[in-house]
Formats: sequence, structure tokens, C-alpha cells
Amino acid sequence: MTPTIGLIISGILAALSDAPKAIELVVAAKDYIKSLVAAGVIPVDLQDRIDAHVDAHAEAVSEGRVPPGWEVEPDPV
Amino acid sequence: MKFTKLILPLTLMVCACLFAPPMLTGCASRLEPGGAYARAGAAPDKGFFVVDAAYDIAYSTIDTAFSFEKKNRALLWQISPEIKHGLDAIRPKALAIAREYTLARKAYKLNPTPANLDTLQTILGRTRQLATAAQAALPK
Repeated sequence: MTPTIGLIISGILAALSDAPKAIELVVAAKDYIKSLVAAGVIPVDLQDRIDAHVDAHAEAVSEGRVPPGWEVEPDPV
Repeated sequence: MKFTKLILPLTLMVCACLFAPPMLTGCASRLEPGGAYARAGAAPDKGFFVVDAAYDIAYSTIDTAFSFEKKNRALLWQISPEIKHGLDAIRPKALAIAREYTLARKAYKLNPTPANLDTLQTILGRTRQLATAAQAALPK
């Protein structure tokens, strides 16, 4: 293995290992936003965005569409 | 090249999460009138909004985990086949719950009773469990 390939693989593994950290970041971001708005007013545009987002999932489900990545596929060979 | 393909979903994951609907469950917060959760002649329905927002976050977490695994399947499979197998066990349950929430949401919109809101909250609880399991299935 050349040093360059080794570096690339290390980078890939680092990126993979960061995936759960990214999700943790999300949780931290949610908590931060939550604390910001805890005593405030939830604006109409945010309400509408959430409603539209959930509506989009619901519409897809109602039409029998399966989101990409949600189907069980055969194992790689 | 593959590294770039991995970085992109990770970046999207972080961005999606940062801009994902926050769980606005603070007791003192209130909904600005005139939004999607306001019914004609009634105050905005904060209970429904909170459940919907929390569901959206849980759904996005599950979706991100599934998409991440699918896009990086070959590499993750080399790390451990259990990553795919763990998520495969969750996939059909997630789809079933998404269908259940959709039906319950329609029912609540037609008939916004406390009992129908309770049903949504129960389904939300199960969705959150799946989101936690999906996160746990990814490599640490």
C-alpha cells in the first residue's frame, strides 16, 4: 500500500467514525435552538416548514413510495 | 474520490440536522398565529406542532442513517456486515411506523381530539426508539 492510499483510507475511516459525532452535533444544535426559542414565539415560517416537511413524508408514504435507502437490499457479494 | 463521497453525506447530515425542525417544547414558547398549525377560529395547536416537529427530527435521523449506510455500503460492509444487518432489521419497522404516523396524522387533522393526539405521541415514542437504534447501528 502506497502512503497516499494509506492516507486516503485513513481519511475514509475518519469520516466514517465521524458519522455518529455528526448526529451528536445535530442533537446539540437542536438543544441550542430549543433553548433560544424556549421563551419566545415560534414563527409562522418555521411552523409552515415543519408542516410541509412532514406532509412530504406523508404524501410519499400514502403513494406507496419507499424513500431511497429504506428498502432492505441483498447483501454485497 | 470516495473520500469526497463520504464527506458529502456527512456534511449534509450536519446541515440537515442544524436546519432540522427543532423540538420546540419549551413551556413558555407559543406559536405565532396564522401558521400551518392554526385552525380556523381556534388558537394555534401547539400540541400537534410539538409532536410533528419531534417526529420530523426522528424521521430525519432515521433517513440520514439509512442513506449514509446505502451510499457507503461497500466500505461499511468491509468494516462490519453487522452495520447493514442492524439497519436492515430497522428498515421495515421504520416504514411501517411512517405509514402508521401518516394515517394517525390524517385522523388527527380531521378530528383533533386529545385521544388522537395521544395516538400520535405513542407513535412518536416508537419512532424515537427506532431513531436511537439506527444511530446505534452506525460505526462508533
